[in-house]
Amino acid sequence: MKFRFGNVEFFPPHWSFDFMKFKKISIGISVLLSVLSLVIIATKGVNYSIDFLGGAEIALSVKKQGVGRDDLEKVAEDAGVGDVEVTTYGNLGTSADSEFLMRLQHEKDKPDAETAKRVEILVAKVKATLGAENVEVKSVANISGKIGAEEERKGYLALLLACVGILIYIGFRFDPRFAPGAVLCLAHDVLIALGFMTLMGRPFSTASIAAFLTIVGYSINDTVIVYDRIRETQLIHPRQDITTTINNSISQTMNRTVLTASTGLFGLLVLVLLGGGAIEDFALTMLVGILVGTYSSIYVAAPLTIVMEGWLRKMGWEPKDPSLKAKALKDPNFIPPVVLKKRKG
Amino acid sequence: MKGSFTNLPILWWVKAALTLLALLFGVLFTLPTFFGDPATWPRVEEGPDKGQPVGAFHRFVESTLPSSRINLGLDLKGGLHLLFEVDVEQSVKDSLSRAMSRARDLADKDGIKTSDVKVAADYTTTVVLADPSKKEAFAKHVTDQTYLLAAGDVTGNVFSFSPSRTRIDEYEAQILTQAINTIRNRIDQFGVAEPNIFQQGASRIVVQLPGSQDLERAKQLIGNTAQLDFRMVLGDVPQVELDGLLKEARTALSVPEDDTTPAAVRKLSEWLREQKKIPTTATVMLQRNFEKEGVTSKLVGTVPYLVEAQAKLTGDLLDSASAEQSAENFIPQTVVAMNFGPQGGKLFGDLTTEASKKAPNQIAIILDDNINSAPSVNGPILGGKATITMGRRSSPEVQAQEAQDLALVLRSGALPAAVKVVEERQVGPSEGAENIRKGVVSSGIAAVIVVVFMLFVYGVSGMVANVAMLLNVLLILAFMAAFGATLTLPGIAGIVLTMAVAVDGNVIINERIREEVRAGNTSKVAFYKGYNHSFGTLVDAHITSAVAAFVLLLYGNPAVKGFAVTLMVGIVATLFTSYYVTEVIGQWLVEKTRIRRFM
Repeated sequence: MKFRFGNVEFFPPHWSFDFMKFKKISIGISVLLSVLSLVIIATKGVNYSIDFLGGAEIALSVKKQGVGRDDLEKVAEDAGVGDVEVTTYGNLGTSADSEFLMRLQHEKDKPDAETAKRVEILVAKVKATLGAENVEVKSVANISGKIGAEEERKGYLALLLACVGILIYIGFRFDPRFAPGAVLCLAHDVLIALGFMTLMGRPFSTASIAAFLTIVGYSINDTVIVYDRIRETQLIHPRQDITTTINNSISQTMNRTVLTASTGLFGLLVLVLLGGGAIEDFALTMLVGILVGTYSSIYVAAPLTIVMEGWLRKMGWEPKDPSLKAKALKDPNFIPPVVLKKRKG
Repeated sequence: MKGSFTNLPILWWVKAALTLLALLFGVLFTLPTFFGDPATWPRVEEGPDKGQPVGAFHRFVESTLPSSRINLGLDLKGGLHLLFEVDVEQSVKDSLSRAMSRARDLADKDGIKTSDVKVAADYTTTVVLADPSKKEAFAKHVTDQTYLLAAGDVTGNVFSFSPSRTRIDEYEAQILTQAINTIRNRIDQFGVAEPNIFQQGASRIVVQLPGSQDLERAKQLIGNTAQLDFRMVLGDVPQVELDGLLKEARTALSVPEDDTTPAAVRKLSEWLREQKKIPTTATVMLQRNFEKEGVTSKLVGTVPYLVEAQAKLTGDLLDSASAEQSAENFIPQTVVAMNFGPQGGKLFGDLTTEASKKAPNQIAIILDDNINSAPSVNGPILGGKATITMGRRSSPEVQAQEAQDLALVLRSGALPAAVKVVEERQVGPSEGAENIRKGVVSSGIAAVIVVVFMLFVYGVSGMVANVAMLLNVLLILAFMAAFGATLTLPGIAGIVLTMAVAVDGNVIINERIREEVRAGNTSKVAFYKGYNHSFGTLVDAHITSAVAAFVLLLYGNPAVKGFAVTLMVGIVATLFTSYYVTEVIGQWLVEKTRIRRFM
């Protein structure tokens, strides 16, 4: 690492690392994490928020010291308004348990308006027990089950649409070897981020859909940068085997990968620590997404390109002679930007 | 530095001019947001300058800067968010059955006997004709009364009319617009600053009331259909027998005993008509008596009445309504006093004249299909005045407020269809301020971190990237102000994220220039090559992210939409600033200064 103020290079010039040497281990890790996420999601179940389930949610801030989750559960029980789920939230930055979410589900066969009445009774009870001056009602939401189901359907549709759109663009802009890697990469990132959030018991709300779609956007951005370099290297060295090309391309873009991921992670870390409440969940999802997204561009998208190349060639597919394309694309005075060192052995 | 801007290519000047324009646009459109709400500025009340702000600075701002501002979302301002679903279906059905009833009245005068009107779920309307050969004459009456139906086939005695899809769609759209207007009217009279009312989807209305905290009252005020009508009470079936009939109908249709909603009662009445237990021109309605109990009120009993099926006098003929104290029969209570206009006054006169001649000499005042009261009428009432009593639902203070609200909704008109709250969100006032503080602090810290980081890694080039990044944030804010977009808490997160990722474009370009330098190019050549060769990469990266942002925009949830708009605008602004703006500055640096980078 070259360390001079104003010209820091994390990786030396002409640095090339054999990333693909570890592709079997990395694919193993990815598969393991994905399966683990699936198991977590299947056993624990995604913690859908009322945005999708319908029901009511009260966000409370309790100023009285020493009031915990159990105390509020007790109050809820005394209020006699049916099942109330109490959780703490937004406390990663402050690590103080003073903010609570109380969640009520709609009662079967009763109009949704009944839930609003239960909320009123519950809030009155909490205020009466803990003292009105100690309790601040930050927000109340009450959503009908019908809206919730609609949101859920639309949310998944949005994720699917985004993936299909990206698949089409990559297939069109690059070539068929690249598209499956890119999309599998997206599925991998979203799945692991979702698994993590489920493990942490964080709610999955409409804001989470936004977070996941942003992960999709970031992850694809990262993948495209690597793909772009692979494509360019292929134009310069058409005869070089794809594994070497990929290794060199990843190495060359490594500076950028580390830099961009760090600025993104720093920004999100600030949000996680200071944002509180709903922003904390949002930022945490993205934080995990960016970490996984950066990793997957290198270790999911790239190896899959190698696999796809093998399959496609077996099926009789030949890449268009890249040198012809190179002539058409680049001006005759084109100088390759990097003089690649021959790998030893 | 003399002549340091000469000999730069024309294209540079064009790009530089564009950059300056963007900067100007950014500053002009972002500034007004920071000067507060013009509605709160003191204004000149008299003279030629009437309406102008008092302060010279405010006057200057108003005359020179654009008026559009960034709207703060409810999560930043505090207040109420309500999503209403409009029951357009029932409204269309009501319209069809009203038209049918009028057509049958007219046909009856021509000697065409009809019975058993039914409106199906798909609006296909059927009627039984006593004499099928008169179908054309009857169809003429129907099409005169409604343009929503077209005459169809006659099978046996049953004459069916098919709905015209396009006209029904038009009618439904009209109902929704009318509902929005009525709601806006009510909120304006209620007095909430900057309410936000808009349509969502085909049958929903979003109402946002910043700063408002009384959820129950707002729901009452907006969601109250306030369909008022007056009908004659009929004596065909004695009132004492009605309870028994209803019970019979409840068992037959298995409607639970405690379901006293108008929809349920409507269903029961329909069954009773079919079974010929009550006349076809009559319907049963309930007077529901409530008593106050703790925070809520409790239903203590119902009284059924047999009334006319169709109202001849409705609330839209009211001239005025106001809350008043009454001491009638020596019971002090709050009432809503209503005055009819000339036409309404005449109809009310006719109705009371008719009722006074026919037992049980009562008229029913019906609000939203519930009987409010059924006063006795001993003679014609010709003044065009009537009152609604408030009942004993709550304490006198609450009663007075309820009466005021009811008078308000009656004045501002009935909703054309029933509405139902399907989503409600309430954000406390301090929570909004707290969220803004958190948002501003975290954006500030994130910005500082990114700026320092870029300076540290790229030196002068990092500074250029930082300038571009800050211009980027300015442009995002300006675009949002220009579109009047709403900034929400996730939106702020979007801006923080955009800041962090905006420098990505410059990282790519700078890395490329470094590589070109290493490949043996001079600083100048490396600069131009670096920019040329990274353009494709940048476009690819941004288009793929834009696909995700675009899908988010289509997703349609208002909370997410704010974030998507921020993201989308951010992507466009990023491509502009991280490529063109840095190129303009960089080209000047490389051509006209001795600052050497990446060497």
